[in-house]
This record gives sequence, structure tokens and C-alpha cells, in this order.
Amino acid sequence: MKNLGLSKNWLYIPLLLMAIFYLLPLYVMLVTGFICRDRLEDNVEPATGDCL
Amino acid sequence: MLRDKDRYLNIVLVSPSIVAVLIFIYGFIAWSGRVSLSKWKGLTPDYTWNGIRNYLDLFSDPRFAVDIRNTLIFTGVFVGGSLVLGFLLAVMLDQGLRGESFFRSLFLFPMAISYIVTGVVWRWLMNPAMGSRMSGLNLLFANLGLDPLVNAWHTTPKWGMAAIALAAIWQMSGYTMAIYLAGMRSIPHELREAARIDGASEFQIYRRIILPLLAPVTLSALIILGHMSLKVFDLIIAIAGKQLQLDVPAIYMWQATFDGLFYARGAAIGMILLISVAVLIIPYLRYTLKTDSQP
Amino acid sequence: MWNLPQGIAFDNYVEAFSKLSPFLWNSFRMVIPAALISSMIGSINGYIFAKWKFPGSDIIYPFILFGMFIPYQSILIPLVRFMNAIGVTGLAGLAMAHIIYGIPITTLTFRNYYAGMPQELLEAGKLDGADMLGIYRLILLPISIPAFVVVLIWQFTSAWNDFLFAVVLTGNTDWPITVALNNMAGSQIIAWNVQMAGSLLAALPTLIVYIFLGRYFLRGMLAGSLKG
Repeated sequence: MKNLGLSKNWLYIPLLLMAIFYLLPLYVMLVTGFICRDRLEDNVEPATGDCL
Repeated sequence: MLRDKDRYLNIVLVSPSIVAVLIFIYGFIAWSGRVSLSKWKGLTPDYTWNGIRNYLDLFSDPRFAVDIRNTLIFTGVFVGGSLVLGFLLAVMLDQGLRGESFFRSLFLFPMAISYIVTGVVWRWLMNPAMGSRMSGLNLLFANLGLDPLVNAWHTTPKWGMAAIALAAIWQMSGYTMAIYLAGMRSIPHELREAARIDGASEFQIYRRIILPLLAPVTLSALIILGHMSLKVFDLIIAIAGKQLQLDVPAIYMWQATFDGLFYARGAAIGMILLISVAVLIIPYLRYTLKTDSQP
Repeated sequence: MWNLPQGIAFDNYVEAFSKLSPFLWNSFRMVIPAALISSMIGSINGYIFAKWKFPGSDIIYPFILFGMFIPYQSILIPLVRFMNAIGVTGLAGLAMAHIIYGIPITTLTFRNYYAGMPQELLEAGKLDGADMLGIYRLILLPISIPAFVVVLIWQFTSAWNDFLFAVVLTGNTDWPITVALNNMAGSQIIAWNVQMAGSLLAALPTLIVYIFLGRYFLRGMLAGSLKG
């Protein structure tokens, strides 16, 4: 039992991976809303917004 | 002890709610049931008796067959995925790691968001466009060199529903995690200690002790998620709109009734949905209320 | 697309807000009264079903609970016709639908909460000469704040997030935000970054509630699976 505390730290790897999965849509909502025109030149989809 | 005034006051106070439930739930169900047995088609109500014709027609309707198939795929992926993911997350959070409450809140927050928002965002994430128009998750996978993961998502022939279920898992797996975690916390610590002393590994403890003890939790999660997946509607509308490939009974009901004015057929689909939910929920309600009343 | 933005542009949010603000306002106007009225009704019902049972109340209770699981497709046609017939349409009709179809869950939450209150509390009130409503007002109401928070949050969230009732009961001037967002997302002419900005605006009120009152939100959610 004594190395239990140490051996449990690997659990952060799956936990963080899952955190990315859950945060991805939130990230998309936040970041794509703030994207400005310069970044989107290569993209076919229409874009709005001028860079500050 | 009861004074005369109080003896009837309680009934008086709840009766508006009881009447409302009686009308808006049971009255309306009966009304829908009657519509489903009629020939009503078009804007004016027509209650001409048609027997179970509408139901028979549905069961020989190829579109309804697609709906049933889609619902089964969705239910399998969504319920299975949410249960497995929820359980694994609960096990990980049950280890007393630092930051547990942060992760718990993080896994639960999608529940606060509407299916429409989830759908709009996942619609972009699961953009099926290929080549130079590629975007969303496919573009992320391609950028990361994970090309085999690039796929057509909900436009995949036959299995598109599984992609919709992925968005639903994102939304609901936190719920399964929460009820599993609550269940794990209620298991006495002595049980685990005793097993550890007997030399059981952590994996064996979860496999042989915790999982069986959590069987009632699994059952209620199964029923709650199962009845949700029968009702799925908003999410599909927001991701893909009304496409035949991703049709489910709730969308067919919608289109039959409000787009096509086939009121009788729409009502019949509604009744079939109600019956399938009732088959799941009524035994569950009886069971829970019975165990509730004997502490 | 997955690179971090080089500069920050607020235009998308401004545009999304200018398109969606009337509908956000509609949602607030509909959801707040619905949540308040729901919680008051639920509290009275819960009090009676927990502490002042009447003959038949144990039989009626499961029938009320069943209402929270039904697929609303099975009552949709009568609901639309009934609301039109009694002339309660638009936001008022939508709020009314949320209140009525919220009766099962609000009653359940309050009943479970009050059932946990010791009977001695009520007996003490009776000895002081308080009647049924007096006990409710003087003894139980002041300690039911947690249950009120749970129910208010739950009803706020579920009415805010609802789509099905909204789409059948409201026309395009009084759409709540979910319907407006869905229609905006369906149109080809609106840039997707505006759509994403709009999604965040639509999600923000419930997200804020969740961030600050998540504990109560979780409790409401567990009540939904009957384990109060």
C-alpha cells in the first residue's frame, strides 16, 4: 500500500485527456468567436471581424 | 390532532396541481390516443374512427423501420458509452486525487447546456467536408497526423447515428459519473479494507465488489438514459436538421404532424413513443417508490 | 482553425448579440416567472404530499411522477390545440407549459426535502397553536431555502434549454433563444464564427448558474432520477 500515492499519479493522464474532450466545444465557442479576418484567409468559410 | 379546517385545506391546496396533471398529462394522452385512432389529415379535425389502421401502417412504413433502426443504434452507443465512460470517470475520481472537485465540475458542465447549443457546436466539430474544405475535428486530426481518424461523422452511411450519439455522450456522461460516484461514496470503507487485507488488487475490488454493489445505480442510469434516447430530438435537429438518414420517431412525429398535417399518424407515433417509455419507467417507478418507503 | 487567434475581434460577438438579443430577452421574460411560480407550486405540493397526506395521496403521487418521464410528443397535438383554444399563446403559453409539466419534478424535489424534516418540528408548531399553513409559513418555509434554490435552478435550466415546446407554442417574434439559435445555425449566410459566438451567448446564463451554484444543480439532477 505504501506506493499507492505515487502510483496513482498516472491517473492524471486519462483525466486530462478527458478534460480536453469536455472542454473542446467550449474552446470552440470561445475562441472561434474571437477569430478575426487575417487568420481565416485560407479558409473557404466566410469570416467576419477585423483584427485589433 | 387535525382541525376540521385543515382536514380539507390540504386537498384544496393540491387540487389545482392534480387537476392540471389530470388534464395536461392524462387528458392529453387520452386525446392523442383518440386522434391516433382517427382519420385526421389536414387542418380540420376529423375524428372518423379508423381503428388501429395508423399503427399497422406505421409498422409497414419503411421510414418507420429506419427510425427504429436509428433509435437502436443511438441507444446502444449512447447508453453504452455513457455508462462505461461515466463508470471509468467515477473510478478515477474515487481515488482521492487532488483536484477531484475541479474535474468533477468539468465533466458535469455540459449538462447545463441545451441540446441545441451542443448540437450547433458539434455540427461544426463534426463537419464532414473533405480536402481543402476540411474543418472541425477532421482538420484537427489531420494537423496532428491522425489521418485514420478523419471520417464522415454523421454523414457516414448507416452508422451516422453513432456520431450523433457521441455528442450526446459528451453531454450526459457526467450525469452517469455523478450517480456512480455518489454510489461509490455510500459503500462502506470497511468492505474495501477487508478485501485489501485478503490480497485483492484495486482492479479486483472494483470488478468483484463495487460493480456488483452498484447494480441498482447501473439499472437506474440505464433506464434514465434509455428513456432519454427514445425521446432524442433537439440534438439531431441542431446537428443535421431533418434528414431521412438520421430520422428518429420524434422527428417523424414532428414532420408528419406539423409539416405534413397527418395528425392521426403523428399521434400514433407519439403513442408508440409513450408506450415504449412507459414499459421502461413504470416498473422503475414502482421499484423506487417501494424501496423509498421502507427506510 | 485550431491555431490561437492572433488578434482579438469582438465583431462576431457584437453581431451575434445584435441578432439574438431580442430572443435572449424573450427567454428571460419567460423563464424567470416560470421558475418562480413552479417552485411555489412545488413547495406547497411537496409539503402536503410529505406531511399532510390525505386519503388517496399515496396513490395519486406516482401518477404525478410519471408525468416527468412522458415523451412530450404524446401530448403535443392536444397541447397546441388547447392553448390556442383558450387563447394562451406565445411566451405566456410557453411559461404555462413549463409550469404545468414541471409540477412532477418540483413536487418530487420538495416532497423529498420535507420528508427528511423530523415530525417533531411539526408537532411543536401544533402545540403552539399553529395551523397547517402557519406551520408551513413559520417553521418550514424559512428552512426550505436550499430546496428552493435546487428547484429554481432546475426549472430555470430546463425551461431555458427547452426546444420542443418553444417551437410549437411560439411564433417568430416571441421565440426563445434556443429556437432562434437553431434557425440562425441553419442558415447558410451567417458565418460560423458568429454562430459559435451566438452559441456561447445562449449557453452563458445557464453556465453562469452552474458555475456559481453547481452544487445545487447536481442535487436537482439526482432528484431527476428519483434519488432525492
